Amino acid sequence: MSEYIVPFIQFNAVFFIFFAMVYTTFLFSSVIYSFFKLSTYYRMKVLGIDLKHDYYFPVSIIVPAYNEEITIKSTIDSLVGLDYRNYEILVVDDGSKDATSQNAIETYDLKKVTRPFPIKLKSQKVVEIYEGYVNHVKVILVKKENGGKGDALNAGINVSNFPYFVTIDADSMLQKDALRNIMQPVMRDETTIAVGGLIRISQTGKFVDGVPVSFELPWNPIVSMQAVEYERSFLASRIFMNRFNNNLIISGAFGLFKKSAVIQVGGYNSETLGEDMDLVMRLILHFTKKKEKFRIDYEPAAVCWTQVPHQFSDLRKQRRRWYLGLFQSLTTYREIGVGLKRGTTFLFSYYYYVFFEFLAPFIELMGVLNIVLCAYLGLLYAPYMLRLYLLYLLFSFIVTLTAFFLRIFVQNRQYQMKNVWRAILVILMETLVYRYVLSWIRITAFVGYRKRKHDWGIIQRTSQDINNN
Amino acid sequence: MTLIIIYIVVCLLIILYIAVFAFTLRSQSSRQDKLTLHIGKKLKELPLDDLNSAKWTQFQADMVVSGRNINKLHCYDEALQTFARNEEWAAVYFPTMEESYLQLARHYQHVYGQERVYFVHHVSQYAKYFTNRRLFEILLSFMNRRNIFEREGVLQALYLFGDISLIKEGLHKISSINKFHHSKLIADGLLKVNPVNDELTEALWDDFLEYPGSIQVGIIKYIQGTSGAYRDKFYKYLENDNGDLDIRLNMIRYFRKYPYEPIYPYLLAMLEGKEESQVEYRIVAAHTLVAFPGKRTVQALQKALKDCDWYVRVNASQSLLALNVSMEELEEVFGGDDRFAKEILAYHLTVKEGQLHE
Repeated sequence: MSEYIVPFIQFNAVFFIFFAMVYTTFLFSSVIYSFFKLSTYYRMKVLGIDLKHDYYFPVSIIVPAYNEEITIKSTIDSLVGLDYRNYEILVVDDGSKDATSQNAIETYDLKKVTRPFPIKLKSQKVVEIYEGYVNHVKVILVKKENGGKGDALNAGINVSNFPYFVTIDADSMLQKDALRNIMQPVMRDETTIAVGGLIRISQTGKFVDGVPVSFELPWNPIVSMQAVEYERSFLASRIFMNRFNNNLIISGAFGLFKKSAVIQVGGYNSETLGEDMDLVMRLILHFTKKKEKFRIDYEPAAVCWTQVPHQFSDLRKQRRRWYLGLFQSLTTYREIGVGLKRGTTFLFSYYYYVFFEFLAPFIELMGVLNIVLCAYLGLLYAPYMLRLYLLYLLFSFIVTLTAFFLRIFVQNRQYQMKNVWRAILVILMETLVYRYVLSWIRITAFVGYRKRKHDWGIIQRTSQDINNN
Repeated sequence: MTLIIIYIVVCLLIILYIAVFAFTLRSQSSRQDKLTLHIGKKLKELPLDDLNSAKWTQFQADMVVSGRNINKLHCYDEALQTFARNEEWAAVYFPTMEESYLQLARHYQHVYGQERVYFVHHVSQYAKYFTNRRLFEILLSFMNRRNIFEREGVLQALYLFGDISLIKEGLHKISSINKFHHSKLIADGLLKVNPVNDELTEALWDDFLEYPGSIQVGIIKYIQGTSGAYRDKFYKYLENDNGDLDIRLNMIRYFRKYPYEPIYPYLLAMLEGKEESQVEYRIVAAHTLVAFPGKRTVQALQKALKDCDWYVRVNASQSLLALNVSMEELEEVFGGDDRFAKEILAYHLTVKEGQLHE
């Protein structure tokens, strides 16, 4: 039996090392590439080089909301003051059990209207529509029967008036120039059907009049470690993938879509847990099969500030949902991975998500089990293994540290020395602890899940104000 | 293990390089502020009544040298902005500096990348003050296959300089490199040409068919914003059933602002067309017919309220109300059996009557 076990263990060990090297190399390469790309990019912004236009395309901002009575006012407040000429705001209340709608109606003096709209996409019944103007911006409140986030977005698309729409979460706030910036890829390339924006964590920023003036990692370790994770993820993989038109995800927290393209693919799927990735993959499949040129872009200057969970239980719920959504999308649209005739440009990102996002926790678990098996069989040379592990940890720590501080340098943000030490500590914790906690959450995500498809989950929110921190 | 360590050392060296690079970028900022102040001082000392003085000569020579560095050019631009707000000052300064700008432009003919894009952007801000055509001929040569910011920057410079033949040449250049350039950017840019003149419009129209679709649409939008003298020409174009749909639709929209009687029967025929392929025409016709008030129009729009396409109904409803149709005429719709027609009209009536205040 040992003639089978030893090669098996050796194979696992080599595979795991190979996997770790490939992943860290990819991460490292993408961080370096993204640094130079962002440097050039922000330099151009500082120099004032962009496509200036007085009237861009009219845009509908769709805000699906479920039990968001705490944050809905600050979200709408951040949206009515945007530096953009022609847009409307649609808040879609997906059958909230709290005072989400009442707060919006009372605060903004919205009036009930009998407003017909075309039903291009399936959704649960729309019960009432309210309208009003705030700062010359039309605000529409759509009250509907509960159907889930995707269903709410479909209802919003049906009611919207404009050829482009932006989705943002109800606990998110857009920077003043976010809409203008997210439109830039559309102005550059007429084949652009979707654009993702940059998601930042609102608990890390201080704002004055919709403009972030300082950045600080909060003391809450859950939030801080997520901040580090977001910086690495958005700095690295998104920008790098965008270079090759290989973005498979546009975050549901902030994304721009061409309405006609989304209607062609049937809108959002309310049966899935990852409606954002599901939609993008469906767009890719549809337009690739149609042999129609298209682009899915990413605009790092279009910034949305969103709240992240600050309690572990909420983080766990969120990450389980994301992970299961990823699984659903990767399996439902595996055609992208097995090779469409013209779809090969997305092969790279598809397999990146398969191996380094979906399978990674299991591969890590396999690595751990391999070590245990080695120890049991007396094949483990602990000092060597420990050195290897420490090297890997050190390298991961350095890459994350690099990604985090490079963003600060690129954007010329002020960062006090005391916060530098805090950041280093958080990054260390993220490398040593947080990552493995997330892996554990993902591995156990399949255990006992029977999520009701219309259940958004209740996550604790706090009130925030982008205009007057 | 050795290989892994070597790998990590290489990565650390790369990170070190990046860190040094990043620190260099940051440290430039305070030096640039000082340089901006220094240039501002020099600009202030320039005597406007003696353009041949040594101070001017020295400044011109310095500008040619430092303008080749993007950071120094940026400092120069920052310093200039305060002074250039004074139009009288700018009208003296820029013509005097033209030779320096020409030399810089010749230098940038052999330089690519962000530096050149920024130089174009800088010139485009002050293009209206220059008098030497040669500078803009050189900028035209910068038009680049890949870089849309450079293309748009050159076009902006040409629009503000206002030379019609150069503007035409710029648009032809975009056509020849076969790169997409958004019609909104074209229309917006052309509208900046000051003063608005028929000569430019005629020149663009003369070459209309030679441009690609996005530029053609941009030109139509520009004409819509400036001149009602193209009704006949657009009508003749539309008589020909061929042609890009987007162009045809934009031309039809033109008649909403500048009504033209001969197009009226065609608009009615479009609105009453039944084929699925004609839906875009029906949508635009419903929108445009508001420019042709009369009983026949009202009848056609009322019928269009029952169209199978949502946007036809919306446009028909809005056009009917814009025509200030009487309540008796609307009663035909409200008393009818088409629920959607009644609802859309009732909604727009509510909006019109101001029950939703902006």
